[in-house]
Amino acid sequence: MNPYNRRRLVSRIMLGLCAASVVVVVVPLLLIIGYLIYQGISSVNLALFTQMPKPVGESGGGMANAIAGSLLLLGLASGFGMVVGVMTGIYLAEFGDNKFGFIVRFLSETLNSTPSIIIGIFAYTIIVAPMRHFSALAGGFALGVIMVPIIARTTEDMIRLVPTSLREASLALGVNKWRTIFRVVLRTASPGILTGIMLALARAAGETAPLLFTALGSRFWSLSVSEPISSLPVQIYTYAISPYEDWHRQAWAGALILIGIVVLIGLAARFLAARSSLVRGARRR
Amino acid sequence: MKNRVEVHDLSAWFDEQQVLFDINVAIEDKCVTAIIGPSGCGKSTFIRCVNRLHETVPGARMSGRVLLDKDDIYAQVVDPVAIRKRIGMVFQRPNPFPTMSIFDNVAAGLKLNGFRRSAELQEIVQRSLEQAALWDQVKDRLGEAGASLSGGQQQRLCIARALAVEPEILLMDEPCSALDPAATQRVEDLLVELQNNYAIVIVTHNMQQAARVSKYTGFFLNGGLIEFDDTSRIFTNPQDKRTEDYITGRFG
Ligand SMILES: Nc1ncnc2c1ncn2[C@@H]1O[C@H](COP(=O)(O)OP(=O)(O)OP(=O)(O)O)[C@@H](O)[C@H]1O
Ligand SMILES: [Mg+2]
Repeated sequence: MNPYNRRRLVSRIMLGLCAASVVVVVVPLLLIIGYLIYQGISSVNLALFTQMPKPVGESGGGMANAIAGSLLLLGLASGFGMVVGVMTGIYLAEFGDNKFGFIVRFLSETLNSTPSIIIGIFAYTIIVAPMRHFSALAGGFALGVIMVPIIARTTEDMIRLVPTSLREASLALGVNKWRTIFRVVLRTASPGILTGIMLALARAAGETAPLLFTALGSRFWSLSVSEPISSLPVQIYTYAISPYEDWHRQAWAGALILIGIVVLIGLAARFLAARSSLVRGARRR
Repeated sequence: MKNRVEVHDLSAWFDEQQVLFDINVAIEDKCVTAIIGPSGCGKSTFIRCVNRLHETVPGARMSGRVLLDKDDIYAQVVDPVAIRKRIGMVFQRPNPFPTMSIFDNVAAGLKLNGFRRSAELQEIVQRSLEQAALWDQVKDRLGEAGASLSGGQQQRLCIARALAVEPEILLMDEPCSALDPAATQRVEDLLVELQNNYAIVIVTHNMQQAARVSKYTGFFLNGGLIEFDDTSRIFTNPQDKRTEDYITGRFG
């Protein structure tokens, strides 16, 4: 075999392997979504979004409280996660080229891979136990802690992608360091940072374990941060392990909605990333 | 004529590497001073020491004194931010803010520092763009992205941005290296006009340009200022052999 033919063969084999890997990645996701639609679509109706759960034994009802609860929890989580995550990212990118920065980066990575149930126990210990009851606040905090390392990481990466020449342009105009960071550097990096926030949100939206220790769950309508609150993942969990056929069907529908939310957030992240000149530039490089 | 800037025994380092050695020079008001020298000889570093931008590079430091109107700009009490407002800079490569419109790019120095009076801003932006010979080309598209301009237009946008904050001294680091001959001509015309109000320092690789626009020329080599004199003398009768070799193209 001459070298040219050999190279072509190797190239074909590699391409085949890559294509096979893509299939391995995509097929399970499509199967999951397909099965969820198959099982859940018949139970997705307006009532699911607008009505409260019915008492055991009565059929019908919806998950309005769980959907609202999830949104509130995610709102609280992003409030906490964004502020702490973005600030940490700024610190690491601007001042983190030292031992302390290295340690913070390492701890942040570790937090990112900490099982979420442990984060739930942590939130239980510092918020639920002192307050003596479960609350949306504790749930939002737990989810926020899960979001922090993801946001910190993307913020740092995106800030580091901002060319030095832009900072210098701003400094040379007599703009001070902090204004330069917030109004030039952060602004240039913001589509990329928003993408990170979206990815973190998508991750937090599906977390169940930490909520069992914090927000607990509730069969009632509540938007109070100091009360236990229902959420989609916990509701799905509760319904799925129940013995009632009607609840099972609602769990499927809830799961379908949850994955729909995650897909939507993911799409928003894609959209923002596509708008980011930094990310585009980085891809081209 | 009055000296605006005096540099005494200026040395500069990146980490342990010394790149400027005991520079002594004075920059006169209301004229153009050209800095020439081969690549890597420290021209950019020199002007970046004059507006205190050098120290923003991690690991960079300097020694010596730089006086602006007799006051040491490196004195303990001096805020570098205030110095940079008075000493404007145009960079080697055009660097407009990519997230900002043409208008906002020019207004950036004022807006970022909290200037809000919009009628005045309009005026300042127009005047600065006119000075930079860009107004006619962009007056109908001020809302478009600054990055949508051509390279030469971007450089003039950066010149307008530097002028908008009304500095007293203008440092230009090879402002024409990305420009075509016509745009270069316009920038040179601009320099001739601006020198009535500013002290201007221009770094250039283009010897003819230095000869055309400047009153004084300094020749840098390996981090040292080899010769500083009237431009006409540097180009017709240099005192140092190395200057002569450089301007006659024998090296660099
Ligand atoms: N950020 C930096 N870190 C380390 N060394 C640097 C840095 N910037 C410049 N140097 C070094 O300092 C020396 C002077 O660089 P400088 O940019 O001042 O040269 P220059 O005369 O402006 O060159 P050019 O004509 O190519 O722009 C060079 O040897 C360069 O390698
Ligand atoms: Mg240079």
